[in-house]
Amino acid sequence: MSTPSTPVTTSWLAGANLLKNQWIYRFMRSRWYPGLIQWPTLLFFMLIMYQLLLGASVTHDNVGSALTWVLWWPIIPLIFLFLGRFWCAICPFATVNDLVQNFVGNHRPVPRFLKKYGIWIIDALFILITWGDHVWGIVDNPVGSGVLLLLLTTGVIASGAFFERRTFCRHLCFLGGLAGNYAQAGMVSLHGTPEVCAKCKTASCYKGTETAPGCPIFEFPKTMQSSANCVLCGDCVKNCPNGSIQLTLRPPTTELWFVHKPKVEAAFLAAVIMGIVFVQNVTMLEIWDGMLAWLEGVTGTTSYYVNFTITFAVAIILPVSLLAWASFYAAKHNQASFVENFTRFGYAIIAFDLAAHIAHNLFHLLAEGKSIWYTGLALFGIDSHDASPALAGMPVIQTLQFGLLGLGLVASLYCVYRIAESNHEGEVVWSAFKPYALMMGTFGILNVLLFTLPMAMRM
Amino acid sequence: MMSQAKMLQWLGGGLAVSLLVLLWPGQAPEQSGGDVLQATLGDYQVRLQFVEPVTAGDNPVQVRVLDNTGWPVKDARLEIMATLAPKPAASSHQHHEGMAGMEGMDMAAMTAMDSAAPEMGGMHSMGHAKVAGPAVIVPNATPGMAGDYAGKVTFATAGDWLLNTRLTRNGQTLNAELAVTVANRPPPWGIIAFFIALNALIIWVASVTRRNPRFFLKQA
Repeated sequence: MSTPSTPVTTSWLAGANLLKNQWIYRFMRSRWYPGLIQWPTLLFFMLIMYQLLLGASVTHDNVGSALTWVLWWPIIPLIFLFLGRFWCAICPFATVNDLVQNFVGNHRPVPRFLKKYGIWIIDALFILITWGDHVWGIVDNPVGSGVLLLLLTTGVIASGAFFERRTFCRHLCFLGGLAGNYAQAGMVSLHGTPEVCAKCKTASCYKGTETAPGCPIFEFPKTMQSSANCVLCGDCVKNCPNGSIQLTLRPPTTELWFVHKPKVEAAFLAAVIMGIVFVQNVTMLEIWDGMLAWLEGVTGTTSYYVNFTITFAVAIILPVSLLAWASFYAAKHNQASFVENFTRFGYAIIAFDLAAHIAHNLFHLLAEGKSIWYTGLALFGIDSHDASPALAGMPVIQTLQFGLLGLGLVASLYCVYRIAESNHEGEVVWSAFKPYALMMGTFGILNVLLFTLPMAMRM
Repeated sequence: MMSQAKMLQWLGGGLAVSLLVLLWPGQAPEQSGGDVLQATLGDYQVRLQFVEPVTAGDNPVQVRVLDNTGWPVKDARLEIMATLAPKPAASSHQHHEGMAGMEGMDMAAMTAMDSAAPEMGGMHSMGHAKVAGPAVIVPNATPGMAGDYAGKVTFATAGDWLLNTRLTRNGQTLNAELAVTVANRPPPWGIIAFFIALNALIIWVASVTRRNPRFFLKQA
């Protein structure tokens, strides 16, 4: 392994660059990173798959369901907030991709249509999987969860077998799309040092060296301006001969204030996620049965497919329409086109998305957390009679939920302000700010209303 | 003359394709139908037909109600409440034991049903099993099915269960109790084997095209 020319100090968090800390730097450059975390994660994933497919047939008793939906799914948005897309570096699907690629990989270039429409495919898959969860009961059924994981595994194996690097993670993974959005609101950022990279002729970070492969997600740290597609795998840190790579801490949501190349599909996904948070909350409320009965009366059918699909579509269309309305209104005042406004300001929703997502899942983590323990004990024949699965009481959970929603709302409003400020001047800043502030306020009210109502458990 | 390596490749591929075809979900033999339970509630005959053999988890059920002339009754309200038959057997998480209810019924609803359980007069002693709430069997609009009502009953575990069936019509409420034995749900071996075969096929094709990127073009 070549030694970079940049001096490394030993002081903890010296400056903003975490890689100036010798321990972190050495760990990221060592061959044990990220394998030390990656391989146990794969092992754990295999155990979960085994439990989902061959364990207890009822979700309540299945440790695979508990680990997936009560532990992993609630924790994942927190990982995105604190560590960006680090999960993607240790994700078992990525490990499977790499394994298959090592043995039978064809390393073909990514198809052009995936490069062009990949995020739209991710958007569609995200919507489809969430819809499928409700109509086919993926979360409610261990085998359903297992089949979803098998489908993803098959996609990853196919992608790893035929295409180069981690094509699936970059262009097809629905969680990767979500992670890409949330990571932009995250607290860590990896990038090259411009002055050092300017003199570099090797581009080892992208191409790879004997030490490590090139960036698995097709990013080039020299020009990378977003954390959306950096998984913190450390390959560029290992490969860079000039010690150019920096890993910096930053206040959450900072990146959303100045998105260099905003994409309409990412803004659309941000609005869609808000709708999905709505629908996830609504269908877990006591009032859902009443709503469903009313809808059955209106549509004249008891088909859950039909009635849920209508509810789902309304929940998705609502935030997208609000964003479209705000963009249309702002376009009258800020000299930007409707699409430009939709794209730029759509990113501001991500902060509130993340907060609402964490708040929703906090309920499952804290109200059902002990079910992980109980279902684990049940594997060894130990019963947990009449034991409460709650880690915290509802007053504590709701206080935390409303606190998170408040923080998310403030963060999103501030993002709107900063986006408006960085693109406009004078009175126009406020003209652009107002409709989006109204939109965020509406999201806030809707979420507070939904979080006030009693929610159902997953297990 | 085909080389040994190529022959092995074709054999492997053929095996994977054969497995895939054999294990394709559509090729599986059709289920012969599930358990049928019948009860008389006053002047009414109630016939419950489970779509598949009853196993732990969700079980779709079709219900037909006939009056004393043998005419189908389509305007009754039907509720089914499942409880574990009272015997000294216990499994983990007693707080959910005896769970039965509509698909998607949530914990909040179950809690509400728990408090309403005493209203279900004339029920069997439930022993240590708790009641999670009735599955409301709704009118079934699907033509060609085994009944005029449809719903889902969830059994948390395998074992002997009692289905308290409540029929309400014209202000009259009638109850009957039906016994059913719930089996463990068999592992989805077909699904697992299908995915194994599919992935084996993908890996085999990739291994062939890796050695010879123009393999399929040459065959054509």
